[in-house]
Amino acid sequence: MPAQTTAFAEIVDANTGYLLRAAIGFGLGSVDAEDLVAETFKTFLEIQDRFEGRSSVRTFLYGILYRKNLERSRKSVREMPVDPIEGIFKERFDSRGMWQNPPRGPDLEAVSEETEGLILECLDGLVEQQRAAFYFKEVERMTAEEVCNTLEIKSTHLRVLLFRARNGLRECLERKWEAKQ
Amino acid sequence: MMGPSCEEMARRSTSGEMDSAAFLTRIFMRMHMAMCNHCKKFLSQMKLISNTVQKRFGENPDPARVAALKKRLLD
Repeated sequence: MPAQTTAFAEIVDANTGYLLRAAIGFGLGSVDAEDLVAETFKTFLEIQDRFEGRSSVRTFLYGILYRKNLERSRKSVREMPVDPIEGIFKERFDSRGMWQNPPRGPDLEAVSEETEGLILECLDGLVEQQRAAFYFKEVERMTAEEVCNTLEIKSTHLRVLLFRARNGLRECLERKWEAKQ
Repeated sequence: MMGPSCEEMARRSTSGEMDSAAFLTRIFMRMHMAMCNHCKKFLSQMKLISNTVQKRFGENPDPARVAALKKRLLD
């Protein structure tokens, strides 16, 4: 087996499981997730010369996976400049920054399968970029720098994405939980 | 209340600025958390969301599926 082929086989062997898990984490079903991983490796072979070794091969592959997923969903990489969550968040506080509309709903002391189901439903409401940032941070436990490299964004943008993702999920959970009471 | 407001607490904790905050700020944030039940609940909800997502997506995929996919990729 030629050296290049062997190296590719090793990369496939070491990363397929992680990429498949991430594709599922992006919200894809089994078949679509496997196809996305296959597309990712195909692209990797085409552009591997661009890999400069500044990040790990896995981070490079995650970046391809993320961009391929955006292409598949045919949605713009850019988010809407105004996200309603900013206003919703602000309205929870008074002019001194104290809670005027405190958080309601379940927390760690009231975990149930139903609550977890609501959270997973809410996750599907996040836009791709927010979901990917949230996934890499919460599930893969990447550092902020690694997430920024993967999504090709600046740290200030990552903070905005995480703020919107987490508050969007919390607001959604509260709304769904109250609708069931 | 001394230190960060509730809004700052919620903003910092959800944007990931908690860890990179200066030492003194972190102390004030901990003090705030010990005194403010609403912020405590807010953070508890964030933890609940985080735990749930980790539980659902953190497990490795079925090894048989991964093996089949590797075979597909290398054939």
